[in-house]
Amino acid sequence: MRFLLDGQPLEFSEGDSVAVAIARTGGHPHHGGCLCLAGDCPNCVAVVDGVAYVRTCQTPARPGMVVNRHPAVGAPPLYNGTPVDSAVGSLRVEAHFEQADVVVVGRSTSGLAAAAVAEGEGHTVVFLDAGEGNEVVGVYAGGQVVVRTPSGMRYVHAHKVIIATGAAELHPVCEGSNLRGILTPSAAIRLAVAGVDLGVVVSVGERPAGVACRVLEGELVRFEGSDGHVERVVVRSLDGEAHTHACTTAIVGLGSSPRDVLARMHTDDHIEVVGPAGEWFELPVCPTSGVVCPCNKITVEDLQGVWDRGFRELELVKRSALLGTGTCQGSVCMPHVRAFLAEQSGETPQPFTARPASRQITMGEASAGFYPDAWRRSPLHDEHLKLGAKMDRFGSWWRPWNYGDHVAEYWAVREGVSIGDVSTLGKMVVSGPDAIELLERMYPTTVADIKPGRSRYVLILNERGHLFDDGMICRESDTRFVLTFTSGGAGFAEMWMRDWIETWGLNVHVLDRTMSLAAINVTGPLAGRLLQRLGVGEPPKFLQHVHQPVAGIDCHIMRLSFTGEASFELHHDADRSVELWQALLREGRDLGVKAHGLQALFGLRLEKGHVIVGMDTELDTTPRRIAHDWAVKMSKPDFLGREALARTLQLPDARRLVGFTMASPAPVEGSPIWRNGEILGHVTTSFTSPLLGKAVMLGWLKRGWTGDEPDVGSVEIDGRTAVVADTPFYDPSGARARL
Amino acid sequence: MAGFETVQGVRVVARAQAIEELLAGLADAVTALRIAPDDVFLIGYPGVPACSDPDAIVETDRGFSGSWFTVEEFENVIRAHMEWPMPPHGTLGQGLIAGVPAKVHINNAAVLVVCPTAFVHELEGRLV
Repeated sequence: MRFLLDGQPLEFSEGDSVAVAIARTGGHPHHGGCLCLAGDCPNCVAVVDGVAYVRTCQTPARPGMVVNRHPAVGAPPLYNGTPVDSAVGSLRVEAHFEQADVVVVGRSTSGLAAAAVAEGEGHTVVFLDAGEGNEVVGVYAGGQVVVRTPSGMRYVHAHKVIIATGAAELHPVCEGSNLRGILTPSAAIRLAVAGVDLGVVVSVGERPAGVACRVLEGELVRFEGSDGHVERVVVRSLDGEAHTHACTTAIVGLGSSPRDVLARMHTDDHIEVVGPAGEWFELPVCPTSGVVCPCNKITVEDLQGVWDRGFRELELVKRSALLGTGTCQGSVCMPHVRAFLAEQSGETPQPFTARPASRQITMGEASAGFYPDAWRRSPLHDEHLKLGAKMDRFGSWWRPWNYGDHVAEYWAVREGVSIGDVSTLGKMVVSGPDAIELLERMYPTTVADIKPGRSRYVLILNERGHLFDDGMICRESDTRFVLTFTSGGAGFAEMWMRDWIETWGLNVHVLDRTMSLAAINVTGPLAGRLLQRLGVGEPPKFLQHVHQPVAGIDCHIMRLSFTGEASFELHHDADRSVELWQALLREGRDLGVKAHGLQALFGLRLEKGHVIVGMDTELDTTPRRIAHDWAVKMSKPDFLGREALARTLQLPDARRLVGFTMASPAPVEGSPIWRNGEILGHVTTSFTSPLLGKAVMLGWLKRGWTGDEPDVGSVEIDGRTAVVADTPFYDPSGARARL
Repeated sequence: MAGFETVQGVRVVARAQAIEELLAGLADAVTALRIAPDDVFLIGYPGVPACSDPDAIVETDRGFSGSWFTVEEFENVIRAHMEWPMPPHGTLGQGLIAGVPAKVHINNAAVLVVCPTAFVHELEGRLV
């Protein structure tokens, strides 16, 4: 059996890992450094089948696999192979989710004992052991364990996580410790068992079981060699003399340290560390030379330099020198760094916090189980497509941007009749004896004086008096209201409302109907006539609302206006929406009815000076800044944000949302507003008005405002002159909305 | 896998006690999804139920789509996309399936998966 190593075939034996197979030929999977063959160090990582940073000691050799050593200098390519799943041309890694009472990480003696106790108490136990193909790479709060396996990523949720990962052997840090031919005792045993010829072997410190070698008593001083391979070991014997010993393989037993990277990710009641992973081990002798961190090639001299520059805490030393941030995540270097700091300061620092992932994982593995945001479709989605709509995403919904000619859609609204899909609006029912009290506290306008069958535009403020949404209140009875919110704000609005109901202890029921009801806006001077054709004898007046069938479909008709023309929102069961849409198009054909998309709608509302929350507003926008003081009744004793508004209204505030006009075409939204070489603000929304024959805009003036009036007349936008203008730009009396 | 279809349901938001009374009188043919203590979604209820809470919100609701799965189908098609435990038999589980908000109800060895119709294209596309 063979695999390819750096383009050359390499024989391996049954049961070999890639690292063992390479060692069998006298080679080294990397470019040098002590091998542990236990997955703890970075000295055997290579590119395997296109994936870099693979621990070859943990990777079973397979016929045909392609292994390439990392470059001696610099980083390996992130990916240089073919897709894992060539059939679908993707690198997707499967995710598997599961639950367990107890997870035990490491099938060690201590792990087995802990599992036996848990099972004795009647708990289900899941064992996760890297040697069995379940490599835990992360432990998160709440007991989530992330596991890399050959068949994908496992996400195991457990009530308790027991970490029993044992101890890792210390690596030598001294001159020559980056040569080839240096092994930990366990690695030597593994190679001996595999029948690998180690040549002339010496062992510093102990005799590994079953390994033929000469044991050297004393303290390791350095390794010497040529051509990158160890040839001699220098050991200071008990008499203080340094002695040089020839070898082709040097085994160094310096002791162990806890294999606790997972244990250091979290400390909470869900996580228990047992066995050597949680025990105290003596630190190694303070290093005086050589490479401390083989991942990032940080030397003792580098460490001394960091210390000399004043970095004394382990966390700071780590960040300053990038120790512990490489492939092995501190497994090799941390005991030596702690020994160094202990020597320098006289105090032994605690190990630093570890974070997932403890192993290099591919982007495919990192994204396994991740799903992108889900985008909602209105019931009319396919109808929009049939009409040639260009769809785009707004406020978590797919919405029609235009149907090919937004100017024609605009004129249909201004001069005839048009329909728009407003199913995305937030829609909520509130009912209960405390409904009025809730709404009076929630909204800055008065609510109790809204008569059943009438509606009112409302701002929605937070406790700081900042605007975060707007909508309508429709009163249905003494104790029942229908509320609407913006498309993007509906999700938050429900949570926000429920939170306040609970906080205030009110007796109110809430039902979010946003996705259960569709809504079509019928707008334009001929909108009322179209509704009459569909059975609405007398359409409601401005700001009235009624429940009435349209084309035989039960509708809640709300009369309002966002476009500046007469508008009727028809709220209805989502499963009847296509039927209603088609009826409106059919019956309005001779009236020139067209569907309009957001592009036309944004222009229509801008001509009316209507603000779109989130587009025209900022996070700290108050009603005063957008000239909406009329929608706030400071005479009310209390409402959310009142206290903040009462305070800030006493303060000067030069920031205002202002209307501008200029010659066409409209500048790009976001354009800076200049005066005398100074930026006064920026354009929030702009539109080239077909009716007015010029560009209309809203924009923030952050300076240039005195008292209640702007002290600027003209400004420069997009290199052209623009003038401040009153809003609405169109039909300032609002007569057309009331037609 | 059967396709998702619009669920004909009735939504009742009322005092928990009133909902308990309502559930106690339900026919076996009605599937009740207890969304919250004060909120239940009744599938297959004939007409509009009477509720002892005078302020209850009782509305027909066709905003959800659902599909019944055999246990085997569910294990093969759905389970790998859920990061949360299965609800006990007869109760409602709510959470993300393949990143889409959904509800799961096990009844008589079959599993009902329900999600808002606005999301059903996403759910079906991700379960393939």
